[in-house]
Amino acid sequence: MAEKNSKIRFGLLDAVILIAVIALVLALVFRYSADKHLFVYDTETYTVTVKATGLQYTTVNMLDSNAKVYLEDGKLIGTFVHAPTVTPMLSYSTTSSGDIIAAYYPDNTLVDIVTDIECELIVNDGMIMTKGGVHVAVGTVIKIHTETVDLDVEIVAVEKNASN
Amino acid sequence: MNEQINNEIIKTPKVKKPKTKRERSPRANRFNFIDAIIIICIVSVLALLYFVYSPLELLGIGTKETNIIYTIKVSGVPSEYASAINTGDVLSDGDGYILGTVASEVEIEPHSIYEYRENEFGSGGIVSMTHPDLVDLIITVSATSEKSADGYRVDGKRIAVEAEYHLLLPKFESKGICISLSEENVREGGAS
Repeated sequence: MAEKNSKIRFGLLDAVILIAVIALVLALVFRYSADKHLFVYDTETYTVTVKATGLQYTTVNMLDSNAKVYLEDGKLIGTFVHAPTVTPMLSYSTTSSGDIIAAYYPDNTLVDIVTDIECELIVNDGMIMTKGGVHVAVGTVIKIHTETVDLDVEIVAVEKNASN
Repeated sequence: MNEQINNEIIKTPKVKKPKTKRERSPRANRFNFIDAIIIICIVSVLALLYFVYSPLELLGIGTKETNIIYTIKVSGVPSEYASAINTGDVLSDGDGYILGTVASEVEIEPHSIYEYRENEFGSGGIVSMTHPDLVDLIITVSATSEKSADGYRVDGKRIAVEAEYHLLLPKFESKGICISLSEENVREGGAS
């Protein structure tokens, strides 16, 4: 009987295999918890209005309606709802009398754009965020990109779509 | 007498059982500490790679090799600098990425500066003025990129319009902004 027990002894190899399996399981859980907010989340469709300033005027031609929009880490965040609204870049200057006034750059130089991105976002404890955990709130500056253009944008509005 | 016999019995050597194969060569198959460390390291690295990259990215699935042409504008430099950039020069950046080769002769454009100017009525606006000495250089670069869903990467570095790059050429070094990008056979969009 004693001999039989010794055959099923727990050895170093078993411990290592156990540790390896646990490490693998933890890695999987960690990956999916980062991606999917601990497996359980409900996304809602939001329209996020963003503003980018000081772009080359030629860049606007590359921001197509329906273009896919990605975060800096390459994760898809949504799509442009429409082509951007373009205005000459706004700058504030001081007049000779000391007043601060708004002035626009000449045409075909630098521009500001405002556009809408339709996003699937998570709401957690009242905080709106992407599936990757990036906080989506008015005033936040985030780096986004399309296939061909990189943009630093400021979020100026976040609206839940009526269809939700 | 009995005591003597007992002592003899005690001193009798035990009969040894024949050794098994494993017992005969204990070092041959023994799993040691180093093996454990190696396995843990391999598993950790695999887990880390799995977390950082998706399995598809690790296998290179979802990317396509594509030739691209992009232009980079270097603003406000003396026009003589253009002669330091030659067709065929290899372009790299400060981090060691090879970003492509200069595809054509450098274009020289006037360098504009913008300033608020008031008119005689006290109102005004921002006007563009051409700098008398400095110019903008437009460098056209050709490269083979990995195209994925979210864009183009050359030697692992993302190439995109509005992105700033540290430009390292054999005889020239500066910073520039990408102003256009297209696939080599399908030129579209971007600055002129």
